[in-house]
This record gives sequence, C-alpha cells and structure tokens, in this order.
Amino acid sequence: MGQGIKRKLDVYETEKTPQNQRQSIVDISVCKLQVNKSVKKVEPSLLRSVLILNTLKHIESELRKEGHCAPTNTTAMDIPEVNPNSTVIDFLPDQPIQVSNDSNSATEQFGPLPSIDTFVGNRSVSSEKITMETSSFPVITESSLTTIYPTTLRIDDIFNDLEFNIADYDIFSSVGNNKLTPLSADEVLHSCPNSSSPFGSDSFATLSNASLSPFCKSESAFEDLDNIMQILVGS
Amino acid sequence: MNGSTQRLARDTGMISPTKEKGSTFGSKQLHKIQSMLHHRPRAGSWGSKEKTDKHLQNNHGNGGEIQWCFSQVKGTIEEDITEADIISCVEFNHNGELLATGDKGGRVVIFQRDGKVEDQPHSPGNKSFHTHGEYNVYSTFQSHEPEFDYLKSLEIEEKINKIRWLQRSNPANFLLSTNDKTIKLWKVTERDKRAEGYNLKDDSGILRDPTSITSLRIPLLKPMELLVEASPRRIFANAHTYHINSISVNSDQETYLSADDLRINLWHLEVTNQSFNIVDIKPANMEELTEVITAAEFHPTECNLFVYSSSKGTIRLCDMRERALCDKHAKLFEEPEDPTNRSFFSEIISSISDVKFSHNGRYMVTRDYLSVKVWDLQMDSKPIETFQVHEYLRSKLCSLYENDCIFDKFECAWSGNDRHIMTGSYNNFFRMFDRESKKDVTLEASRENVKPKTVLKPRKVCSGGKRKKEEISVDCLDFNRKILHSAWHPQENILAVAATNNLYLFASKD
Repeated sequence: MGQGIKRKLDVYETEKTPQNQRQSIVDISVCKLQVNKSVKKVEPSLLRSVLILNTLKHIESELRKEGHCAPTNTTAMDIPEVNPNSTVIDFLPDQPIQVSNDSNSATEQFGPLPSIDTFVGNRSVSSEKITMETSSFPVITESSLTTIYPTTLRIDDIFNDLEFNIADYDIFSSVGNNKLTPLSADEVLHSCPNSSSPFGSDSFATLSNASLSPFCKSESAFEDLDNIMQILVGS
Repeated sequence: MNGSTQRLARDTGMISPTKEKGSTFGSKQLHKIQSMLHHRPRAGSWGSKEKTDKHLQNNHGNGGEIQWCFSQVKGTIEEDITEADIISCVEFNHNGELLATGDKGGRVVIFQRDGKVEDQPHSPGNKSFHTHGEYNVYSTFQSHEPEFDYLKSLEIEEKINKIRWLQRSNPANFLLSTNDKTIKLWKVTERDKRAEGYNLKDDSGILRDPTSITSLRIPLLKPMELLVEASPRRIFANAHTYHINSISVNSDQETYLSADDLRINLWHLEVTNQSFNIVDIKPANMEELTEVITAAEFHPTECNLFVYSSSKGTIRLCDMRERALCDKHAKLFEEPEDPTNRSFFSEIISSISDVKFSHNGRYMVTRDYLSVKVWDLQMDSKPIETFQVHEYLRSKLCSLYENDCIFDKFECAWSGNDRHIMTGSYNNFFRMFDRESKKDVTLEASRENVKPKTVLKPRKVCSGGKRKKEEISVDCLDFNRKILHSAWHPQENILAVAATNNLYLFASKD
C-alpha cells in the first residue's frame, strides 16, 4: 500500500470525522499486523509491531472512555475476529459479549487486543524458564484464524506463516547455545508436514491440555513432533 | 598470480577495487575485479562521475555560519536501484581520515581522504600536509553474509546496521560492524613493502631448486603498490535474540555495548564467547510488552555511563558502577507530551530513532519523527532546545502511517564543535541547525547541484496555500528518497550523506 513514488493528497485526509479516521486507522493497523511472509522471509520488526499495537490500544482506551465498549477482559489473550465482510472487530466466543452490530451504525466494537506474539515471529531462543501455564498460550481456534485472515488464504498457508508463542523454552535455549549441525530446510519440512515449527515435549503436553489446538489433529502429528525433537537434541 | 590472489581474497575477506576510469562501486563491478591486484587509487582519478571542489580562498566574517558546497558523490547514476547497494550506515573514524559505509548487501566500503602536500602560504619551501583532500576508495570487503535461522525458518539479513571505529593504537585500523544478529571486529591493514630475495623461493613463490642455491642472501624489503587488507579478527555471535540496532565502543577502547530491541549486552573486545547483559526490558509476559529499545550509546569520556532511548520517547542514562544490571536508570529524560498536538500517532512519532552524545559529553541530541531535541545531561525534565525537522508532515501522519514511512529511523549528527546539528528528511533533503544563531537550513543531496565552488541553494517546502517559485509542495515530495544515514567529520565541516545508493560529500566553503 502506498508504495508509489510521488504522493498525492491522500483520500484519508478528506474524511475528517474522528470516527471515520479512527476506523480507518484500526483497519490499516490490523492489516499491518498480519505478517505477510510471502513478501519477506525476515523476522518482522519488533519496534514496528509494538508501535502499531500501542496505537490500537490507544484507540481502544479512547473508545472505552467514550463508552462504546462493554467491559472487556484486558488481560488480552484472545484474538479479535475480523469479519471480512465488515470492518468491525468482534469478540471471540471465549467470553461471548453481545454487542449490537448495526451495519450502518457509527459505533465501533473492539475486542481485547491480541498478544504481540500472535503477530510477531517466534522468539524462541531464550535462556529463561518458561512457566507453561495454559493461560499464557494464546488460544487460537481454527475458525478464528479463518476470520482473521482473508478467506482466500488456505489454512496451510496460515499455519506455515504463524509462529506460535511456545517461546522461551529451556530446550531451545540449550539448542541455541550448542553447536548443532543446522538442519536443512528439507529435513525440517519433511519431518513435520503440518507446520514448519517444531515443538518440544513440554509444550506438547500443554498443547494437548489447551482447549483448542490446531495441531492436535491426528496421531501422526504426535509422531512427527517426536521425530523433530529427536533430531533437535541429536539423539 | 591470479590464483594466489583469489585465495587471499577468500581467506581474508579482502576485496579492494582497482582504480578504473569511470567505474563505480556498484555490485557488478565489485565482483568482476576480485581477480586483479588491488591498490589504492590515486587522488583525482575517479573519472567523470565526480566533480571536486578545489580549495578556495578563506571566507571569514560570516558569523561562524557554514556555507555548504558540493564536494563529491559516490555511486551509480543509474535510475534502477540494486537493493544490495542501498547504504545502511555511514561513519567517520576518529580523525576523519577514513569514512566507512555499510550497505544492505553486507559490504563495507572504506574511503580514505587524500592529502596534498603543498607549500605553506607564508613560507615557501616549508611544506604542510594539506588536509582538504578528496575521499577515495581505500578498501572494500564483504562483512556479513545472509544466514538462515532453521529454528524459526527465517532469514537473517546481511544488511550492515552499524559500523563503529576503534581508536587507533597501532598502524592498523579496527572497526566493528554488525547486522541484526552478529557483530564482527575487522582489522584493516596496509602493506606497502614486500620482502624480496628469499632463499628457498623465488619472487613468484615457486620453490627454488635446492641444487641451484649456492649462497645465502638476506631478503630485502622493497616497496610495493599499497595493498589494503581487511580480515575478521573477532566474531561476536549468539548473544541477541532480537535485532541489533546499536553498537557503541566505550571510551576505554576495551569494551563495547550492543543493543537489540529488548536487551543491551556489554562485551570485551578480546572475548567472543561471553557477554554481560546490562539492560533487560523484556517483560516476563510478552503480552505486556509496550516499549522497546531503539538506540544506545556510551558516553564519550565517562566509561561507566551510557544512554539508551526507547520507542516511547524516553532516554535513560545508566551508570554501570551502581549495579551489574542497569535496568534501573540513574536518570530518565522525558518531555511531557504537548496536549495540543495529541493525535493517534503521538506515540509513534515520539519514538526516538537516534541518540548521540555531543563531543564534549555535556549534551545529547535525540531524533524523533518530526524533531531533533538537545538535552543537557544535568536536566532531565525537558530538552534545552527543540528543532522542527519537517513539521509540514504533521498533517500527513495518517498517510505516512499507511505507507510505513512513519516508521523510518532517521539519524542525527553533531558538528565537531557541537555547535551544529544535522539530520535527514525526505526528498533527499537534509536539515542543518545552528544552535548558536538558531538558524536552520534545508539542503538537497542531488546530482543537479554539482557545480563546484558554488554554495548549495537552500530548499523550502511549502505546506499549503500559495507556492512560491522555488518552493516544493509537500504533496510533491518523494518519500522514497530519504536520507536516513549521515555523518559529520569529527573536526572539520565535512558531511557524508547517504542518499539511498549514493554517498554525497559536502564541505564548507572555507
């Protein structure tokens, strides 16, 4: 968007109403946070993601002050569903709060903001201990994923793009510090047909405990993940 | 000789271009010339692309204000920009004799200033080393290569984020260069002598037939064409989870810091397998992350002090003597927000993209999206001076947010005497601020202004209403031509300005 050489007066400048501008900023922000890995294979900038997220949070608090939102769960772990048919953001089913949704209404709805990890690449290499409580795992449902991303994306594309926050393992820290023979891309991909991210056994237990997980699809997934773990720890 | 030169290039990472008339240092030429013997090009031999500013008569009496003239431009004039040629950092060394640039392709190009030996004006026969020389290519090498992180299935760019010189303590020059993840210490050495007359080998390296050796001879050092070699001396890797945005060498010249989005590490130049974490702002729960580190720098003289800036517009001064982990700052510099200017983008435009200490160590300058601010280290409540860089963009923030320009990170620089500050803008404009006279000027880095001896014409942007003749309207600015990286000579009024894939050198008229 907007990659042109010379800029003309942008159409957004002409719509001066604060709500319109607010809505358009929200739209732009959500688009920006969708990591488009087909364009760039590099980790997205954390600074940029944080700034965009803070802008969204700022708008959310403004809306709340103006009384547009029902009280939300501010420990935001749910991902807002973006209905591709409208530009309104709804809550996730986890806490079903019905907000009236007039298609012509100027009021905006706003869900709890997602964790930054949902949009930012995996930051797995770290030497901290993880507290793998279920609550720290972003609850991602298949249905919510399809509504966040345009329906034209296949589920496989989504899973390949997303790096989940199974971050901060000990296992990955020890892996990162040791000199391992790097796996070829082929080896990693072939060992896990459903996703490009290997998971550790700790997190897998959490995965199976989590209410919904896109990876608990079949027994073969378990075996694949075990294979990956063996490759990683060099056993 | 070709074969051995090739091996040398691979081992040491040395690539130095020969002087070729009309050649540029674009990527195509670099790869072609690896097989040739390297030597430093002589002054004034860079061909038609360059126009040089010859030394002029002294021009005093302008109140200390600087009149800038075009001096040199390096790089291709082709319209199509090769991504790898985009300059990503510019840095003078401590006496300004060397100028290093890094690019997106992971290469480092070092320019050296040529001096002319001339008669002193008042005593002919006494020669003085005339320092108003040109900068010419001295050495080029591939510093970083792209890497692939298999765990995250992501590429690590080879783009050079920062270069910092060490002060010279021996005839070799050392610099640190870093990409997103790895810092390297490079040693740049000159060789202008060669030993000739070995006993066991002849001059081309072929072993002599032992039976033909009838007497011993002592090898003699003979001069040779200057050869500049760069070799990686240390590699500091695996210490940063996030992208490195700054490196800064301490005044003790033994340690340096490296900063990524959430952590700052302290290194000893001799030790590559260990670094100390001195700042960590990563929250236990990443969902609570609201602020990242954007830049960090050591104090120029106090080896225990450093500052780091944040995405929320704050600067923290830390003292390493107080505690090992400097999460708690000694001073927090923050200006309260101006309520009249609040917008959705207030936080984004307050994010500090660069922080630099003044040479005397009493002040620091910060650059946020629309302004530069000078802070007195003794006063943390507000800056002592604020200069608007391109206030006409304030009404365009929504569009700039949409096209991502609002996230551009501009650098800033002090003049050698700490009186002036410069920073870049769009449309290849750059801004100069005189702290004493409070005057500012907008200049353009363009090949159209390449008349030697002529002072650069100030540019002006009009934000609306009637456009005067020489002015340019905000809507006509080219947001793809931005000056993010620039450097000011440490002692003289010479500016190195990176405009995408070209490097401009400007000098003051006197």
